[in-house]
Amino acid sequence: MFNVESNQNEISIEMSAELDNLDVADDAFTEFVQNKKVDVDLFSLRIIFRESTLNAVAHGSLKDPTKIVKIISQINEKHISLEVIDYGEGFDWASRIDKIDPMAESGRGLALMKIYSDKMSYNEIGNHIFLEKNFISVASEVCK
Amino acid sequence: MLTAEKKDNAMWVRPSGKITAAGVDEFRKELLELVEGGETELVIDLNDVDILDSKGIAVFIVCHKSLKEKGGDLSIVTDNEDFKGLFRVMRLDEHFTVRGSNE
Repeated sequence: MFNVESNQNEISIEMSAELDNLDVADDAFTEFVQNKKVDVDLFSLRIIFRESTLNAVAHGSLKDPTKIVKIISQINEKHISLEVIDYGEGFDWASRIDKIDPMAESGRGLALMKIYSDKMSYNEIGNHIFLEKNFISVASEVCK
Repeated sequence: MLTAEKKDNAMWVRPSGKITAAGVDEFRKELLELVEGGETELVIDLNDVDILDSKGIAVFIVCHKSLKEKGGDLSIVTDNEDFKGLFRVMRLDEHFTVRGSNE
């Protein structure tokens, strides 16, 4: 299952928790951002999109295709916000965020999101992440 | 997903498109088959790759560890400054070579 809706300043995606949907979601999100012609570091934005959605699908939902992951991104005058929600049990993100072993084979996604976003937080149980990426300069075509 | 070619005693591998969670198992399998087949000098050329994620990066780490066990080396070749930055912020360039095409 994959549904996407967008309007002037918002894109929302609901999808089943399957790895193949991550590429489809990234493509839809990237196209949405590119069409807005905002001055943003697209690579950084795609990294945080990729890692937040991957965590929600692979860890939050254990790749269970009967589970749903929701993604909401909004553009305002200064930044793009990104929320990713899963319906899993969450995780103890606060204790893990600063313990990154560069040569470990997993656990790198949190570090990447922290480095490449301008703001990052979770809800208390850790199944709803909030991220922001600031524009390099304020775009004129958005939010008129 | 990738092409492999022997050049100057090293096996050059040139994946294309995305190295991300959805397709990474096959990529990992193909690389480890090369290592198990006796290749010790492996060069992964990322110049046809559009996007990487943490699962893709993990494959390079697995590959690097397998090569090290055999006394070999991994090199990553990319002219993409974003990718170079990604390896740098993850401090992976301290463990294996990350360089541009002409370096």
